[in-house]
Amino acid sequence: MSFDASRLYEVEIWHRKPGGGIMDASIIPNGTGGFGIAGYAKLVQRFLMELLTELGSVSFDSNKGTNFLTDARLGKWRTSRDVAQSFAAAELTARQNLKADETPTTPADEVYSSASLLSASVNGDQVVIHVQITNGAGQSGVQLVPISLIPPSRV
Amino acid sequence: MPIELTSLTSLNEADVLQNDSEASQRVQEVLPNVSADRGYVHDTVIHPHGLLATLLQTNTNRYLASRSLIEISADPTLADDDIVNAVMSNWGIARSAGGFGSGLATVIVSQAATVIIPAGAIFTFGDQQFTTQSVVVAKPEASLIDSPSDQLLVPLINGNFAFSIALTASVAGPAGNIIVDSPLTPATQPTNFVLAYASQDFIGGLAPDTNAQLIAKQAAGVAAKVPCNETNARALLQQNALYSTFVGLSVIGMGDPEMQRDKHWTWPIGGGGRTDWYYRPQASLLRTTITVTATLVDVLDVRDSVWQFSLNRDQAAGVYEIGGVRPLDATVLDGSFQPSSDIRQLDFTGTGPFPDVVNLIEGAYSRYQTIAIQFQDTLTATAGLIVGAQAQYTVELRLMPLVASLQDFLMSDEISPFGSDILVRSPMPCFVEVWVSIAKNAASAAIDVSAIQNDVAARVNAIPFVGGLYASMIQSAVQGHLDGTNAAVSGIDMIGRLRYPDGTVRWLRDDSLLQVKDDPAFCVTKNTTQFFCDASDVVVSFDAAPSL
Repeated sequence: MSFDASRLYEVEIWHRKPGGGIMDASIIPNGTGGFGIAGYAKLVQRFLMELLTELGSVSFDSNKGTNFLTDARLGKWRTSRDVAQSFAAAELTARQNLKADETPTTPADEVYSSASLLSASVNGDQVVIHVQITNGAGQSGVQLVPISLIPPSRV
Repeated sequence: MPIELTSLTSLNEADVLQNDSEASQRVQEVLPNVSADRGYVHDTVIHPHGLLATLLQTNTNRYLASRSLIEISADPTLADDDIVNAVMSNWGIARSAGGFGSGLATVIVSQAATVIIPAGAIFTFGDQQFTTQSVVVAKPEASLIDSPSDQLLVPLINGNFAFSIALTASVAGPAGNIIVDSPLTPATQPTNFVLAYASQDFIGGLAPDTNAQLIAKQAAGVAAKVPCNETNARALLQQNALYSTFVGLSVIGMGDPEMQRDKHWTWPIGGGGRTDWYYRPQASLLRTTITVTATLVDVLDVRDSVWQFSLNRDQAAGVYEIGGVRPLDATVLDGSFQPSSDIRQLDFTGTGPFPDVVNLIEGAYSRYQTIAIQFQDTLTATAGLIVGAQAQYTVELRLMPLVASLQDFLMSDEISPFGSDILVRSPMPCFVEVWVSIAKNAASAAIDVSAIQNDVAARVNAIPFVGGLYASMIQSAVQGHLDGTNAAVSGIDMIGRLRYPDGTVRWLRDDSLLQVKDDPAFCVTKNTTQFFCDASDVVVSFDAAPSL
């Protein structure tokens, strides 16, 4: 994607690994100098940041985030249905927060429209969700987000 | 309280969000293609900047508030103490660090055996702790005294023995000013211990100045420290650590009806050149004891005799009354004798200069009064005694302290004004008794009578030179201790005993306003008179009030 001077760019923090599939959280992937994103990719990142931030965990911004990962941390996810229920409630909160940040000048491809959970698989200490995110311009895509329920050990 | 906030978590949220928004706008201005809204750049770059900017602004505002007299006056509790100290130093005002109450205590033991009280020994009264500053060794015989820390055990009439120790409160504040006869409990009982009690009112206990009190001192801080007018007089006293803790000062001068000393000439008008300072160095009356040598003047019966002693002007300075007299070998538990005669005179012998004072009306309760006391001793056996015999007695004095010291200070060459003289007097005393009736029903919570007594006494003692005590002031002092639903003040009676400088007593009594009638010919007006009340002078009674 070439640089468009009329857009506002965000730093990309989740990258698709070569070949697609699972997203990798790293600001500067190996061999690169980092990436800036705008448009649909920026909306996806905003939504995922909102979804995966625990509500009330950000100082001086108590409205940011949802209870999605809070439910995971509290052990409420036993089956994919539990994940779906958490997602449904969290999507409402995320929608509210994302809409509050949008302005009349927000490009249509960065306007949030909807998100739906296509599938969720609970495998022991890891949960993988497939989320379809749609923007105001009608674009949609499926994001595969792995969630580890046990923090990785520090080496 | 440190002025600088160091924790980001104590910042105001609205301020942080405002700074976040401003930072976002500024980043957008410089980097128009960077998304500064909520997102990675905002969370990791802009928001931390907003936090630090808010911290800087908050600390700056706190500093400015502490530097501004308007801000300090508006809310003294918000201003940083260290900054206020720095501001006030521009006017020569220093914050009092407070003081520790101290005084003498009597320890009674049952045996004539050496008793050692080590330095740091703890004695308690209620929740107040007092300690000895140096070791005291009480010995049974004078021949054993060989050190400055040694004392002689004094035999008492009941077979016990007594000695004195000096105690100092462990915590600064007015709570350390316990009154005479307050019982003291040692943390470690001395050998043969019977009891201990304060043998005088403890003094010197002061709370540190608050910011509000420092502000109140500012006017005096700016004024010249000279005995010119009342503002300057206050400034002069406040700069001296010994006199700065006064609670009341009234300066009478030319043209004031109470000023009698400037009329010592032919014309019936004041000629000026004289000022009287009515000085109250502490809120409560000071009761202290001294040992005097009395002379037997008459023998009435086998245990009834009349004795006489005199207090010179150093001993009688500022003294209102003799609280009681008892033999040296008696304790407070044995009671005391009251004076049957109290004759006051003035002593201007020695090297001057002296203020122009011609009679007791003008000079009573000053540094120059002397007192001759006669009393009837109904305890000491008179067998073998002849008129003229002498014996030692313990005398309780009730006074305002520092009168002599302040008089000498003001008459010194460095301070005394060229054109006038100054006479320092204890204020004309009106000793107040308060009777409070409280109606309460069975559902009322327990009422702390001691706290009521202390608060009422403190309220009375805090009245400035206005000459009036309103019952509503008493009521407000009592009301805070009552359950408003099940207990209420049903009656207040105030009795005042106004002691004139010539010794005559005028009684005042009212249930709404105890007012001093102006009698300027005797130097007794609202400008010269102060109310004194001790907690033991407050009587609290209870009535059943089922209707509450």
